[in-house]
Amino acid sequence: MKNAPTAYLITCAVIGVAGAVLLAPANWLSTAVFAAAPFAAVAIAGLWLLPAVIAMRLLQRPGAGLLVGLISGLVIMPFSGYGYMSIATNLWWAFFAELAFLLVGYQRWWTWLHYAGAAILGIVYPLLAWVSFDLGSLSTPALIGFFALTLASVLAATAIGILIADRLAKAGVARGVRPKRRWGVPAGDGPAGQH
Amino acid sequence: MAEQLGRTDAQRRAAPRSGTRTSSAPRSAPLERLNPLTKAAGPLPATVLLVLVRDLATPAAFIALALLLLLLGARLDRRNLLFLALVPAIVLTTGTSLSLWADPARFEETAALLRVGGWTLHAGALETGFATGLRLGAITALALLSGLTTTGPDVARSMVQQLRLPYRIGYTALAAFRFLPRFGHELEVIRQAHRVRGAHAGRGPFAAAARWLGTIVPLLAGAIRHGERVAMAMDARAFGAHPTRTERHVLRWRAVDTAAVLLFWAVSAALLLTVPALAG
Amino acid sequence: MTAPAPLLRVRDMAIVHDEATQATPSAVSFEVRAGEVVLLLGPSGCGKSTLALALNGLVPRSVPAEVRGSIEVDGLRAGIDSVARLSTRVALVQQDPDAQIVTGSVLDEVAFGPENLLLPVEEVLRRSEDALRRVGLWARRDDDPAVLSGGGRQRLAIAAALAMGSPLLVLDEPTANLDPQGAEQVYAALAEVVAAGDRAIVLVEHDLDAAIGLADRAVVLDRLGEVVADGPVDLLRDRAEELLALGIWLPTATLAALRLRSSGVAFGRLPLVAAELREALAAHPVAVPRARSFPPGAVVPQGEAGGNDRAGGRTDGGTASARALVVARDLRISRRRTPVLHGVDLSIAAGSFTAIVGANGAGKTTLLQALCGVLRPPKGSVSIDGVDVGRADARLLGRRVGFVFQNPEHQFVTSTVLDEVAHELRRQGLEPDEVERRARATLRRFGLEHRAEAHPFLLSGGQKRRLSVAAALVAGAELLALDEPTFGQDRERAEELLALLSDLNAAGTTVLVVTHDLQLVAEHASDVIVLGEGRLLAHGPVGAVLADDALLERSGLRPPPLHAALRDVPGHPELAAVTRFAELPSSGGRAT
Repeated sequence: MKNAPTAYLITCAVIGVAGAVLLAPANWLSTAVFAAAPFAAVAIAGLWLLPAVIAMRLLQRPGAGLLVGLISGLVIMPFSGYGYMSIATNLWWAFFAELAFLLVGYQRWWTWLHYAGAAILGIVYPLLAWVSFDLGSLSTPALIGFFALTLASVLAATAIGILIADRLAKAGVARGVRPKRRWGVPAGDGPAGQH
Repeated sequence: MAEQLGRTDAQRRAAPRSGTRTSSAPRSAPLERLNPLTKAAGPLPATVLLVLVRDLATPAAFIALALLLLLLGARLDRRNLLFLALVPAIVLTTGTSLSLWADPARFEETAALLRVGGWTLHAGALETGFATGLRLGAITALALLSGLTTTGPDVARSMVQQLRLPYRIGYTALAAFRFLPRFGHELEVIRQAHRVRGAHAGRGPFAAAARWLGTIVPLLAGAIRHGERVAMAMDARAFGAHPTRTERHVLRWRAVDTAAVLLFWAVSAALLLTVPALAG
Repeated sequence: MTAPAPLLRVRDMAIVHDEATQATPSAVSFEVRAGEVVLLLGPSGCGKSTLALALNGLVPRSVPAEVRGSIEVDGLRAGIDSVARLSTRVALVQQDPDAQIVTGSVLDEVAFGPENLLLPVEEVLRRSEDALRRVGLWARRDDDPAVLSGGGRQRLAIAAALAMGSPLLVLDEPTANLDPQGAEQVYAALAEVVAAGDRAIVLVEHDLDAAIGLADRAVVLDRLGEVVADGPVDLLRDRAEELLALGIWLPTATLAALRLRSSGVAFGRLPLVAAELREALAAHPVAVPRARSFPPGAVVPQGEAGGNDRAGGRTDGGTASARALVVARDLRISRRRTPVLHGVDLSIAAGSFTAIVGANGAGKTTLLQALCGVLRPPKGSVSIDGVDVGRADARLLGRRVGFVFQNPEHQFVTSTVLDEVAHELRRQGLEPDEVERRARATLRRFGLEHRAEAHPFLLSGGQKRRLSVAAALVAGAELLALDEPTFGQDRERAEELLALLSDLNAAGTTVLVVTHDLQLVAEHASDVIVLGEGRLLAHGPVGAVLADDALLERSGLRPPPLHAALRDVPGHPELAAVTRFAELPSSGGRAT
């Protein structure tokens, strides 16, 4: 991080703040939905993953996702009331956006790695939730719903994040900060755009 | 520029600042005077260990502890009181819904409390549901210990000063707080502009989602470009010149902070060990 | 006795942006000595902003570009030494006041730089207080920078730059994003800095009226980015026509003098400031003849040709088809329970070019948005061509009025330029062939057909604006409304855009513009609406309204610069009502 350009840090901060703006209402929504149907609350779980996916896809640098998680957690603190839990939560989810890339030593930025990280999260989270929410007590349909919705939610979030990041790249954003040759969209503004 | 931001100078001066308090503002409540990290470190073991607890009394004890500390030690304005009321709300709603969604087959041995058609609510289900509900309430209450007594900028500063987070990250986070009102306003204008242009007009959730998606790109694009100009301004003011910087808002870790953390750990341990046994 | 070494020495500097083929600037060499104030001038696109950013190393460190040649400041070399080290020698004030705020209080903001330099706390506070007092913000040191006005925030940026303690201060278009009041504040603060003489200043500025009084020297670049003039600021007097031809926007007094000179007024040396202009005119014994043709909205002195339709519309032979296009009756708008507009009644004639002006917070944007349906007005209070705006849906309105927001990017909803223009046509339900044909025709009309497949965000600033105007008008709307279209642009670009609007107006489009640039209003508009605190203060022909000094003062506005220079010249009452350059006689030379 010592040599990271300020513009890179700020770009992550911007994505983090955007994430926080998104997550503040989502926090409440999630709590409310949880009250009605606990397993359904995870349907919006993907939102916690989204900002980090955007950062990793757009910037393709190690740590971008975690930085976004940290800052979105910090910014959301006054609004969620959860204090440090917000930071911890957001960092935790952002970590999974980075995980697959960490495992390949940040040498490859294939699109499927984004989905791999999300899939791992889609399995790990329900397992952890099993313990903390005592999911064993729920009826089988509710359990299946929990797992399925989590997976669907994080995969959808990954897809949306990649879409947004690619559109941002096409719009010529963050040119000084993202690598010249990106997986996904060519760096220069080429002829007739896709999308 | 005032015109552009939609408020006159007079209105802006009058409007209270939302949420954030700079650390130069007087901190009156006892919990607020502790270092921000105290309120993270203290509840940490309890938060982690509560996940494993299954009875009703232990989480309830922690809720009582946290609420007591907050009532005595936090500033009791309307916002904080609302958050405090959140705890029983979470317990009740979550407990009820988990009880209702529980698998009746698992609790057949326990007493049947309610019968609706083919479905039965057993006492065991209620107990398990509320055990989880109380656990969630306890974790929330412990989180409120920091959430209601610390401001975001102070957390960033304490992470830089106590945890040795590189200051550039911490201060970038502080700068990020400045982006928040700008985001809100830009989003409003973009939505307006898109409405005028008739982008994805239509009712229903899919049109709404498409509209949302359509506003994200210009919002982020504009914000990132703005951020790049901010980054240049920061660099032009020697941001990152040295590994550390002079601090005028100093957050100290004092003896009372260590004492508070150790005391909380001790009480947590006591509760975790004794309450389950007492409750039988 | 050798002269002291120059503080800043730029040698053969050329900068090539990463994705460009040509260098802008391309050949720059100049020196600045301690305490000198140097004006850096040049037409749009010559690279002066890039040059300013290179002086403290931000180019190439933060802006991807290649820098050739050398830049030496006080023993350090920009581009080689780090930006952080250079910041102690070169302090920068950028164009955007909002982009220079990173903390939560005025004092913290000014202290940010010294704190980064690891200075002891007492030194930090001493420098901060010193700097804040110099710009007049010490009393507001605990305020949140967001509650300051634009001018206040730029003064804060200047204070932050002063607190760095650097011998050189570089300002890159510091007033481009400000209204006239804000610009005035900034120049008052700069005048203090210049008077103290402890900083050398390099000032990139396109609006010279205020800057010229502060400068010692001028360095002028041409469109290719080469230095064509470097000398005392008086060189502007001697080479005025040459510089004008290059695209440099000269001070108002100089431009006025150039026109007046051709009608016989003698100027020993061309004036640079209003005082000199008035002095020369006072010495001229004969009344100045008025220009032959009367531009729209000009005040026609008694006895001259009639045809002057005071209710709006054109005076130069165009039919006063004073059909009311936009009618507002008792228009009231509140935002979050605060009333913003208090019962506005007005009627805008078809074919007019109307400007809405007023002090900050007067409600100009709100009025524009309510008139065009962007903000839904109460039913029955606004109608466009008979259609009730309060009831009409967006598609119906889209056929009648095209609205252009201040930031064109906010309105782009597709990913190619062609689609952007075609979008509205598709929304109106036209056939695909028709859509394609009309879209391409519109792009041709606006000079954008060579970028038809490009992503809208990748266009230049001027192209983006043309695209947003094209997209607004493609469905044949009769009314074009623009909110601050010249915000943040230099005079050349602003003039270009207004010329485009004038052409559209001449072809029949009614134009409605919110702006705070009163000189542009004087040059191009036919009518003016003056708002003050949500109330209509005046609505009339531009010449009459802008020459009404009492009215402008009541509304909190500064008179347009030309009028301000000519209104009380002793011995020349015939000039008192002049507001536009075209009203000054010229022998057919280059029009301003």
